[in-house]
Amino acid sequence: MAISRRTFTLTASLLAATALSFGAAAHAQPVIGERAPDFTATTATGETVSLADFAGQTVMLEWTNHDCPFVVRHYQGNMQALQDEAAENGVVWIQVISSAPGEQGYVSAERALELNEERGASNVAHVFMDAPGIIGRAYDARTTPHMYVIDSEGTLRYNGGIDDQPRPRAGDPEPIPYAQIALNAVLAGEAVEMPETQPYGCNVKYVD
Amino acid sequence: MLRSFPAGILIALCLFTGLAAAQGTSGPMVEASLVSERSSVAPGETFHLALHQEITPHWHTYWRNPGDSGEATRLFLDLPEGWTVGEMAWPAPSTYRIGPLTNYGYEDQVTLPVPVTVPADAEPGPVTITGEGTWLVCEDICIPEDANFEITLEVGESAVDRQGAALIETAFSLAPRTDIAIEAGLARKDDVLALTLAGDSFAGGADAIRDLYFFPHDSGVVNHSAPQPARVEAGFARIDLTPGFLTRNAINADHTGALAFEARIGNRWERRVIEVTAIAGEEVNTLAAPVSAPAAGSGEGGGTSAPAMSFWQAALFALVGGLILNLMPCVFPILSMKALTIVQKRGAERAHARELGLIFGAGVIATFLALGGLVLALRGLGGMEVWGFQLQEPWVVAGLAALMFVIGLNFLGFFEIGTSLQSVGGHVQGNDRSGAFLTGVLAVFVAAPCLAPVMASALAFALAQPPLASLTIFAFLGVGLALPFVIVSFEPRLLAFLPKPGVWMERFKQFLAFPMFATAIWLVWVLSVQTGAQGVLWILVLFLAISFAVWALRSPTLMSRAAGVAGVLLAAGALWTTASLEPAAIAAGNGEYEEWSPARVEELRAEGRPVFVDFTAAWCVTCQVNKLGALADNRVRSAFAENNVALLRADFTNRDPVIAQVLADHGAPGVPFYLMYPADGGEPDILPPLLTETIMIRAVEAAAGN
Repeated sequence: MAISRRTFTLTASLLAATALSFGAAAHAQPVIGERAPDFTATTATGETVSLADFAGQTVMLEWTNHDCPFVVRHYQGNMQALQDEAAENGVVWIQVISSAPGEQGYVSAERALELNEERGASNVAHVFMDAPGIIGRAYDARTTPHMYVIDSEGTLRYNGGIDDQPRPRAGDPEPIPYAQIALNAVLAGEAVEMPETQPYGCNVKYVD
Repeated sequence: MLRSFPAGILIALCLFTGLAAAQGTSGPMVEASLVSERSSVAPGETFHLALHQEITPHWHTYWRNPGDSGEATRLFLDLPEGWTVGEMAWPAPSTYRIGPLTNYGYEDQVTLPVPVTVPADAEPGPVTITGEGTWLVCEDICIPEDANFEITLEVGESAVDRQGAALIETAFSLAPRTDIAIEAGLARKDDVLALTLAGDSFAGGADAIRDLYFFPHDSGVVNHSAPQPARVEAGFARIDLTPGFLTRNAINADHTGALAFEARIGNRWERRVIEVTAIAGEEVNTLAAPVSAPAAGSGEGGGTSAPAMSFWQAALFALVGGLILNLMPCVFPILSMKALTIVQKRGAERAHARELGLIFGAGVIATFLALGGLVLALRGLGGMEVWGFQLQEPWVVAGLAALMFVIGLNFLGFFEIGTSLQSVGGHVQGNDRSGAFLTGVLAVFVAAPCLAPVMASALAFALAQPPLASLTIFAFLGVGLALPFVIVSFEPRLLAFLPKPGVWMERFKQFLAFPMFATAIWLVWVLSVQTGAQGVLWILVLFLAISFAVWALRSPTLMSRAAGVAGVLLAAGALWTTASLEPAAIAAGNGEYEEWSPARVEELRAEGRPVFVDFTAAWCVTCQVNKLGALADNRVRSAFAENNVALLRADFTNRDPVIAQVLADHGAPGVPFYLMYPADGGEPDILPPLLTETIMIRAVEAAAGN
């Protein structure tokens, strides 16, 4: 036969790629200064919420995986402090768990709430259970932690890392807290100086 | 808040260790050491120290740009007064795709050298250098690790540390070359970031350059997961990149990165990695945009345009494949049987012949549809989705062998099929419709092993389709197989080319018994591989029982009939007794071939050997042809030996979910299936189902990387 297995494999992958790109086109990539990708999510407490529900409020999205060492490190107090400060300013802080079932970081809704209790993260407004990775892929979330700031008009203002130092060492300069700086700028109605930075940490464990 | 950080880090580091233990990983995933090019250094000299990592199999550490997630490995040195350290040299990375993310890094082992300069006034004597390395090591999960190092060198006369020097030399040989001039520009072109390139390295054009890939040093320059389609023309190349956040709005800076590609040297393709700095906003050639992106999951690369295949092309190939099947040794006996029937239908019974032809065709197509449906159902259940699987059931093999034996006996005139056997598929000589239909069913079952070489591709295509399209392709296979008979039954003039009926027909029928016996022998052999000696015993006892039964049926007297029935009972008794014995395990790999297992493949690859895996089965005729042909060829065997190729054999004669999974992962519908893993740890090559000496030798050379 003139047709090789490779041809078929290629054809099959092309078809798959086409299907995938259609899928991707359905989700707008997050663009700074434009409307943040919409979402409708089931929270750990069983509510169904959409981005539209938070009109008029600043929203902070935090991708998390409680077993990821980088997340563990920031939950030594840094993340909680950020959350508390945000709450004082009326910010809606949302954790998103996009780990697929069976992967690190995947938890039941009850466990997700328990974790925040154990860590003293009392100012998390919602925990999104995103096991299918729909919100994660819509936001192109790549690591835990990966932070996003959405202003009160629903515009995406920040996308990136929590700070600039994956692993600060003794004697290093203080990390530049990118996410906090961005949030403060948005709350103050100012332009975000570095609206996109490199997120670092563990990869988000998406379902295949 | 931020002031509490360092204390937090300490606590976190302790937690990391606990975490690692909790996840069942023992100890660090990376064995790291600080190695030196010199055991003794001279004042004023520049030499290299390096962080060497031995990484647990399947885990990886990261390149200078880790990609979508991860963290670059770092080395901090505490040098004596006056000593200075330069920038780390990074061997070219590999690409790791994890879901929608792409990472750049290293597996197995890596050495990361830094240049260190000794001051000219350094005093002779021993010097101790301490250092700390930090890195993130990931598989499915990620573990940040670090280690402290100490190394003592002598200041005096320069002396080489052989082990360290060898590692560092290897690292530099794998690092992007900086001594090859390539002009490069990075400019926005519509939605893409056009990386234009010019240099002697591309002189060969598209015939000699392929698989271009740009690894930028900085994160945020490109979207790491996006494909990188490329175009190459003599002396020039263009890669279309998808912008990252740094380049989305404007290209404000020049960007350096590693450009990887394959260059053809004679018959071989060699990987080259060259460091290039792309000038912001410039274009160094005017090549048109490359053809649209290749499949997102196709790894590195671009440049190669993928031939497309439509559904109707696949259906046509299925039809042609079915036609070709008629010539296959597995189908030939059936063809003969049917031809015989048609020959006998000459003259007055043409209308009947037509009808039988159509019914036969319906039998073939219905069976293909049923099997297709079954395959699809199993695919849906995530189970076996591999063609030819029905021959993995020993009882099916035994049944077919018995059937062939009975048909052979019939052809030899040992008995005439009477009304009592009408329901059996072997009722091939009869005129009735169910006989014709069952012959069609039989034809497909017997043809299954021959499908693999002809139809591998169409089946792979069919399996990737929605159910209805898959079934249509299966049906077309059936149409192809049945078509010659249907045509002959409709166009009796074609029969004029056949000899006239006569005594020869009886001789011809008798002759046809021998292909039947041959097929039976082959099936018994398959059974022997599946079930060992026990299965052979059973089937031969079954043959004995059949012989008795046949003898009893055609015996004229009650006495001999009774004797025949007694024989059947005795044989059945023997079968009953022996059946309680467990089937023997299948014979393991033989000769130069080791038994395959995924773990063994990894072990051998860890040793840096190319690995050839032969996925085979006793019931697969093409597999045997390859085994006796290309794989037994002396030149091929000496190529294996010269290149230290490890040979593994995966036997799919019996069901094996692990093998089925590997086949499915590669989109292979069944065996034969051949994988050649290159020595450099890259993706394996899939070899065609029908091997030749040339294909094998080329594959071995490519895998050995010479």
